[in-house]
Amino acid sequence: MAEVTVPKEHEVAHHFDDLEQEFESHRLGMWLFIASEIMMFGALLVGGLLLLYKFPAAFAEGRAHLDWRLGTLNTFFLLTSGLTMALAAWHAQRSEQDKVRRNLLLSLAFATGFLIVKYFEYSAKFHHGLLPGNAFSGHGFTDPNAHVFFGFYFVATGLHVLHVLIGMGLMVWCLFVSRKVKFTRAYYTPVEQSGLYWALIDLVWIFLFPLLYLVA
Amino acid sequence: MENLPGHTYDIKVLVRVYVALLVLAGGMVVVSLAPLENIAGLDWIDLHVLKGLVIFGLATIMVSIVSGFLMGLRYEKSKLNTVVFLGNFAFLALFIVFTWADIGFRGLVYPSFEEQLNWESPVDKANKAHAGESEEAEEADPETPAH
Amino acid sequence: MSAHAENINYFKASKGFMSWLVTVDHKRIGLMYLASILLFFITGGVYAGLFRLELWGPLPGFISPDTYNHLFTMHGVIMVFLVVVPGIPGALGNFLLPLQLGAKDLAFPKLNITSLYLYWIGAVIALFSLTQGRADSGWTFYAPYSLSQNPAVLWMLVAAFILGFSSILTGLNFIVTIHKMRAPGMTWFRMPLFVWALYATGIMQVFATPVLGITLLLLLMENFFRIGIFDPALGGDPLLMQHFFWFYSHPAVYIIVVPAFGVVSELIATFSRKDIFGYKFIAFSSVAITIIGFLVWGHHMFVSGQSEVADTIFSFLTFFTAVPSAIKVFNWTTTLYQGSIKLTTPMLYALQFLFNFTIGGLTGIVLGILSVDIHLHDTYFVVSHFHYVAMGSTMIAFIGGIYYWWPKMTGRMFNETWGRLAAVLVFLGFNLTFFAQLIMGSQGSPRRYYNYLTEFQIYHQISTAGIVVLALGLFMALFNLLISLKNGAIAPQNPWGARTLEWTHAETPPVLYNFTETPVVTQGPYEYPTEKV
Ligand SMILES: [Cu+2]
Repeated sequence: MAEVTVPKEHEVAHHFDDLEQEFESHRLGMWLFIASEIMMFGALLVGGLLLLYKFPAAFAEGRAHLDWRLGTLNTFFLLTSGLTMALAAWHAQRSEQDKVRRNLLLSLAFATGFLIVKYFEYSAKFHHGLLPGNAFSGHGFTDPNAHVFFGFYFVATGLHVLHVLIGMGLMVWCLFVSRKVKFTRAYYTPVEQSGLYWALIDLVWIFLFPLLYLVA
Repeated sequence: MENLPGHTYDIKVLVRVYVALLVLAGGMVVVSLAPLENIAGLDWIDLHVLKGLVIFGLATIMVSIVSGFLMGLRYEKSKLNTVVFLGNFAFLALFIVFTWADIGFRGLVYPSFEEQLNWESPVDKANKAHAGESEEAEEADPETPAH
Repeated sequence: MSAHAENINYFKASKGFMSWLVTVDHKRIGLMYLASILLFFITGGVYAGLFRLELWGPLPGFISPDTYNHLFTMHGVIMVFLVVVPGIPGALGNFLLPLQLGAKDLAFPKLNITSLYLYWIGAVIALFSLTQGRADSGWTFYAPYSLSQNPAVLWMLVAAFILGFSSILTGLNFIVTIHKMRAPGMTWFRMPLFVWALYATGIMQVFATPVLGITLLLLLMENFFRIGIFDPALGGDPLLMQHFFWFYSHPAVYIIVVPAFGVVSELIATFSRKDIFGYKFIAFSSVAITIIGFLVWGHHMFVSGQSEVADTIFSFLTFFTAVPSAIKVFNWTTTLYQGSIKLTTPMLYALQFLFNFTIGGLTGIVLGILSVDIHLHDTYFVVSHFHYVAMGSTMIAFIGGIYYWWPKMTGRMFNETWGRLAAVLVFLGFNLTFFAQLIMGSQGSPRRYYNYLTEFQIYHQISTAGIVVLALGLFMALFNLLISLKNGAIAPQNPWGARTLEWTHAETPPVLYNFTETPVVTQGPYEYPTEKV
């Protein structure tokens, strides 16, 4: 955007009485959405835990083919971007649009780092044929269910990566909004909501990381 | 400003929370790698299970920190969002416990259907395929600690 | 929008086809839901009609066995995912929730229109699957049969996934609206029971539907990438898939029927002209059903090879679901006692509901008994049981609700005589169809079979005859409403003398933002002036 637009104050939508009602509604709405996402990921993780219970040897063998250092690096990326998103919301409450944007960009950078690491992990799996089901061609495995680990690995991390991409989209959206609307203590909903969504991605990873990389 | 929505906290809190999360994440990795198997006197318990419990315990602490501070549940006057969040875990706990009541106890009275399943594992297929190949094609795998 | 558009009735506030497609007005969205759902109700009904005609005789008739499997699958998928699950919340809930709470709209109007569009997209994909082959997995998509890479089944999975999303967004919107958008003075215990029912439904939509989402996603992944989680041919656990599926689909039964409880509570209070008996019991029993509903899914898996431990636990817990349902039935019956009952068309549907739901609920308890279920599982008894709930209770309450709120929605009164006649036909037709199946099932006639033993023919014929009567009644009810659009008398603001806000404070039809001024609530939803005897 070449022209300099002065951010405007936000107006309360017609069906709300005041900013407080609007803010609280949006927050509860986001929490319920997060709740449904947690149920979805949670069910998947429950499935994963039950598979771990059923096929402990397969999980141990599969885990040995994941690199805990890469997983830890990614945990670091996600936790740090979680911090920068919280900082963005903190500055948004104080109408510091520039600092909001800087933190959003930082979060985007860390999220990109996460994706790059994931790319290397995935390509290593493809290279070694550590793929789900009939595509599996890894060698040296003894447990007949070892491929199930990689089936679960790809579904769970794939779904998580999809959410990372959506979260990054929300960050870009916030960058646009920050040019149009002046965030205030009473209205910083876009940053707040995107931050909540990003924290959800952190939450999922906090359980997914040990389940895949650490527990055996 | 008192009646305005939103939560306020010191920026230092955020940084402290961040450090705590890093420490806890590090703790999970350390527990996972720790060679506890070599310590004498610990053989009365399945160490893998113990490690798993500790690691998931740490993960739970991390989740409560993220939801409490970064997601601001701690700063809300109304506890509604907290109830929603805890509700998730209640439902998921039910899900895992009851499903485990099935998966963990099959075959007590009648033989489990799984014993009658006839299937060919892709792992075995892959192993057979590799056995047919010559060994030279195998190259060292830098990412894999042990074969 | 012109300056005073908010005080014009919502039909006239803006004009043209496009103004409906881009609307965020909950009333218009509710009506569009209503029209779509009725359309699919007819579609699903036609599928049922076709295979019931085929079942007139045991030998192969005008439908091949494959087509038969396809027909009952389509009937199930359409009726479950496109009619009964979104039905009452989507159509009546959308229209009424803000009106009953004294709000201008739902909390998220744009999200609301989004969930309608998701519903349409899901519906279109479901129909598109017809061009890709024949979906024949049944609506339950059990593995491993649903893993046979039938493209039609794959599209059905996608459709159900999107429809689930639509359902989640509706539930989310309702919960936020109920928490945050109540008019001044509208305390929790002054909310109409329909609102309580929608609240309980919303909880289940938000917490259970995502599990269906992940189930369908895993099935798709299993089909495409053979991940080996559900597929026994790859070492997976097909029962895990059933656990995932029923963790959603048992609560889904309550997503289907709890809104109907709400509608019936309104109808019975209004037409008995009496405060509902045990308001708090009815309200809390809806919430109790929600919680218990999450604990019993394994009763669908008694003969699947599930562990005996799980069988016993699930059977035991299933009996508890009877308690809140029975509380409701007793409270409604007690409300009728000494009420000034008016047997209007909506009330006739409410009374039918009581009759059908009692049968539907009690047969459910019978099926929850472990030893009995071994024999009744996968027989017509089960088919009859859930039709007494989904059709005999939910759809009947839905139709009663449509009749009850029709004047508010459209501003026209319908013809009472034809309405009552249709209601009686529906009652007879429905019970003929499904009581016959109850008997046949108890004698061991298996469901979903193309062929059957000749000794069951009489029941099949009664059942098929019943569906003709039922169809006649339903079409009569529909045309009665459609004709009233043109010829019906102009409806007064409160034709039934009800006490909830949509009747007492909103015009007929309501204005764009529902109320000319925000109502202030000073009394409960069913406080009728006591008449001296
Ligand atoms: Cu059930």
